[in-house]
Amino acid sequence: MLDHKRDLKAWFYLAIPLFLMSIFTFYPLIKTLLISVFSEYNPLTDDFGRYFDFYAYVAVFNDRFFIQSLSNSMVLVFVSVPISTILALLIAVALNSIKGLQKIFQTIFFLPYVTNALAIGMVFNVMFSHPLVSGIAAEGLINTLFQTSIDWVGPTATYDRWMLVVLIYSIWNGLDFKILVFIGGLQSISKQYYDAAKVDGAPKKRVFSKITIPLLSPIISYILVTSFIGAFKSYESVLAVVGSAGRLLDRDRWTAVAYIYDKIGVAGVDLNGISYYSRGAASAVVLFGIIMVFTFFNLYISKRTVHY
Amino acid sequence: MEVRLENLTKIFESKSSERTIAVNHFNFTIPDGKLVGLLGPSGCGKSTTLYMISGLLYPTQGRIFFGDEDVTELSPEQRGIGLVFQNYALYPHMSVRKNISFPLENMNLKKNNVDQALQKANLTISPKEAKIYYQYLKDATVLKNKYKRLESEAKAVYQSKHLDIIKAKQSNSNTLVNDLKKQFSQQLKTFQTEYQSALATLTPNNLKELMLTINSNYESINKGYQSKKRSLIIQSLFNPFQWVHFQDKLWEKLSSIVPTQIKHVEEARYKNYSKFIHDEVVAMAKLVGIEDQLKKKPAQLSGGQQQRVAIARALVKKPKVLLLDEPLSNLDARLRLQTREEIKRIQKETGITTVFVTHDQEEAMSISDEIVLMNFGAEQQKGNPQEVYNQPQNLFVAKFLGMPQINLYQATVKQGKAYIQNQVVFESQKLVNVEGSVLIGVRPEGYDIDEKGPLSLQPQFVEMIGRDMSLVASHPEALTPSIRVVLTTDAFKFNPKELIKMKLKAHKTFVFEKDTGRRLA
Repeated sequence: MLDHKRDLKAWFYLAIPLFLMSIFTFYPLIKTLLISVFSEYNPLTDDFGRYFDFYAYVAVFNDRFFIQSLSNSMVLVFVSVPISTILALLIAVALNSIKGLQKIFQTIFFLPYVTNALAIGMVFNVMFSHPLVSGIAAEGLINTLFQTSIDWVGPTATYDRWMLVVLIYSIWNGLDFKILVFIGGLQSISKQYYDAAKVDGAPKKRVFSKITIPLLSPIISYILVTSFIGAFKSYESVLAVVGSAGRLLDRDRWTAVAYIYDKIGVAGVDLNGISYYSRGAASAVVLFGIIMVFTFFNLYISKRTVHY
Repeated sequence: MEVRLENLTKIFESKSSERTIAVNHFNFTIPDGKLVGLLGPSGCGKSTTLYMISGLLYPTQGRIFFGDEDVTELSPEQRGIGLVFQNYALYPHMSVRKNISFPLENMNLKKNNVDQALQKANLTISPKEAKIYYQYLKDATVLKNKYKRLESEAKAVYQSKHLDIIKAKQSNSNTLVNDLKKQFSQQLKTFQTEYQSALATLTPNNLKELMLTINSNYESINKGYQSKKRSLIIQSLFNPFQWVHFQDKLWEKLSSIVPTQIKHVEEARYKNYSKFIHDEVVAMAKLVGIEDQLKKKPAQLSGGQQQRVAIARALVKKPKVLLLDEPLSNLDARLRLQTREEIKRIQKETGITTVFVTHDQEEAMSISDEIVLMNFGAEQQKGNPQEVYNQPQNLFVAKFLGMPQINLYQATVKQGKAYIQNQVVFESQKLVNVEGSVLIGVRPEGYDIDEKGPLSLQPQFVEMIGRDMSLVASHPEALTPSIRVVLTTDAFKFNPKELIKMKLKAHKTFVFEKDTGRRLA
């Protein structure tokens, strides 16, 4: 009886978030799914059209730029996340082992987190800037520093150079939060384990690999899962680095999310009668599926390797 | 291994330049192979002392010797100690087996063994040169340690002086500090030059040649063997039947052709170290009685089992000294009794010098060969537990040992006799020169009921706990509102309105000075 009452109370508290979630999460989720399978959907009249089919998916997978945007996202995911996680871990361990100035460094490393992503992007843009006609404006900081005249992010930049800058940006941008979380995790490891390791004569490398890493593994796993998801959804990183002066991004430099944004910005149907909006929805569903599979895979691995 | 603490002092300094003297000029020798208990109330510096012996904390002053070796500057693993933490500090992510084998895996067994064998081999192959060379290596380390020690001592002196200057807050403190800094760096420089010159005089002139001769002598013996070994290895590689336990089988064949002088070196090289570690772990697990728990994680074990794992981990690398920090405090009462005996048994079986820390007097008295009572970072009394109980040197010791606690009375001394309420309760030759008010302590078992006894107690009730029966009573001159008297007669009756007369047993009665707590008689 009492249990039942408590259940009611819990449901009551849950009702508000559930209500909000159904409006802002579940409804859009289902609607996106529906839009993606009605290839004639019209966003202006909210009319689903006559056809229930998978042509939107076919169109998306036949789109060279969608494949390219997915591969761009993949590069961001598989290069920037591991590198920034390892870097953040090393920096956190280093910060944790110094005594003086720890707080100052912690603040410095955390500053980017409270800074606007677009502001940081602009700074990057200025750092890597290159005047198209030489002599009109000064070279950016990087070009000046290395005495080069390379277009890193401008219209004439090659794909590799542009990707390098985007990677540097996303690695650096991901560091702050990771470092903060890692420091928290490191400080929660009891000092006794390190004392015990000292008595057991473990050299520093072994202490790191055999004690610090395993005891930190739940946090490492958390960081990896969330930042993989975040990297799959990245959009502002490419926009921030290049997007000054409203210049449209080259299509082959879109990320998956940029592709979706582009498609849902266009009303109407193409020559084959497939709505652009449905394509956007279809690509969103594909991205969702990829992230879900990947996250399950991630959790499966961490279940076997992470010590809780 | 005997452990000697000389003048050991530890001062903790906080940021607000506040000083806490945790251990204050502590001197003690722990005899070889004995189980010694450091006993005291919390905050008395006993754990700090233990951690200084372990090497996890470095003393501010004073020296620690293991046998004749000064280990003050050595790290825990160099000292060769085993430490069991209060809450065991088992690595939660490792299995019990991994936990126990962890210290062994850190030891670089193969390299050490090969090096040792090599040294022995060289001493037989080229005795003259090797003797000089290895002596030089040994002396050089001793010298290095000596200067390390001098430096750290100088640093400690510098720091305490520095703190004194800051605390004094004199107007010219800046110049004083600068002078001090200059002095200190000057001192370090002289140490440096002294060390260099001492090392130079120590170094034999022909050090390089020595090494060359040693190596070439070794090579001349080794050469023929190595070529044979190579062909043997190639042969066995082509034989798939040899692949399982490759090293063991190879060694079987090699052992017949290896020259006798370098046999031990090769033996060390081909020994199966993972099997060695495995055997050691199993042996240790058997000693502490957890051989069936090796696959589990620490969280799956009970408190008592976890403690055994911790002891096994501490003992597996055959330390010279075993240190236990409050070993029984995390166990329940029944397990505590059992573990007490277990620790005693393990200590007896291994014969290892053991130091343990506790605040529980019963625990300390029951298992230690010797106890040291500490308070305010200083030794109060040491010795055989029963002796310390029978002959406390001061009020603190008398109060700390014994359950129920000793009963204390206000008394006055006149002409060698101690009076409570104008009745002579105790007399001794030692009191002849004492006059005035004192404290008298009587152990609860130190009373005899006697019609003509000088002490009259107001009885309150009789308390029975299991087989023990005691009378709870009060006395106007007692320091505590109630006092306890252990009764020996089963049939004890009293009339609550009548005072009970008591006589005090002389050997259970102690007289203490009122201000200092020093024992007078």
